[in-house]
Amino acid sequence: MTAHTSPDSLAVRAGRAFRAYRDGDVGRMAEVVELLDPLLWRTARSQGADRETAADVVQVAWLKLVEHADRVADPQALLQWLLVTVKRECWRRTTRDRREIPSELDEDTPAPDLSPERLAEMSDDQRVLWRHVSGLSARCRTLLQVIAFADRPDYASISAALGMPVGSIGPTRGRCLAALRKALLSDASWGAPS
Amino acid sequence: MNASSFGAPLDHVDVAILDTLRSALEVADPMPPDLDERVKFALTVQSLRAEIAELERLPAELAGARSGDYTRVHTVTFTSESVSVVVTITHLDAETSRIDGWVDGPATTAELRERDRSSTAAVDDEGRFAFPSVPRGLVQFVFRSEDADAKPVITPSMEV
Repeated sequence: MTAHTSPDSLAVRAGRAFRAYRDGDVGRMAEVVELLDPLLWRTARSQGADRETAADVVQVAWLKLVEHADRVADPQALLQWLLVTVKRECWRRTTRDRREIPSELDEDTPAPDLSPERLAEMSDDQRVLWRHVSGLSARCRTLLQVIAFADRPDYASISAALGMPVGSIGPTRGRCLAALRKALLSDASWGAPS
Repeated sequence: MNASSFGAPLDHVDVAILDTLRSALEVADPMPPDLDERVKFALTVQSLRAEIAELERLPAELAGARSGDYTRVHTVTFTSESVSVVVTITHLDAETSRIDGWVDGPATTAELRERDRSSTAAVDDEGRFAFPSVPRGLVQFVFRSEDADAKPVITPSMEV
């Protein structure tokens, strides 16, 4: 897995390509999209958007970014801007579709609606892990799903964008990962890496 | 759990947990394989100073919108600040669709952007427009009005 070992984080690589795009190298936008789409997809899905809505929300976030390109100053700001835009858009649509306003969306958000067929395709370890992830608070569930697709240096800004207190994950394990790790290590059915 | 546990640096167990979570989600809830392409296509639209319309699936469509459906006709709506559009897509055969639309708002032309070309249809006095024969695939709509100051309205890309 190269995701955790690249010399430059996802946000930095995406930021570099985005700067080139803004300076007139329009072809570089494709690279920005390919680098960050997996995180945006995960953000939308972990916010309770169904697969169709999630795909649409991600597209709208990119269209809005291009329109507001001059407001996004640096690589971490680019990633944060996109994450916040996806999150808000999901929130807006979920509340519209529910015709009610939840008091605190984050804590009401259901785990992604994985079908039994999809769950059956997971390995035993993956299933055990998913069960424990589903048992976490909605904020932790979201954060862990997104950082699983990110690089370590980006955790802090992802965490901030998703509404976790800054510094609660950062370069250290963080509250959410610590909770998941503790649950897994005390579960005999988890084949812990030695 | 104590303070030293979550303040600790990540170790190989944490990395393994995150890697397993990532692979689990790649199996169980993968990103649609064409999402990057849909985004890149939508971003190639020329008029960037545009109003962005969002897609709304009609409630009756929710069940039929899953992959593998063989519905011949489906309807989607787009809404933005200044217009709302209802688009009905009819699959004529394996390669071709017909698109009928109705715009509520100031638009006078509807542009259909396909991958390699684009075509324009006039919006009539009642707000109707049609593209009688469209190769099936990824498309995007752009609506313009006669008011030179008005921003065009663009939609996300979608399969027809």
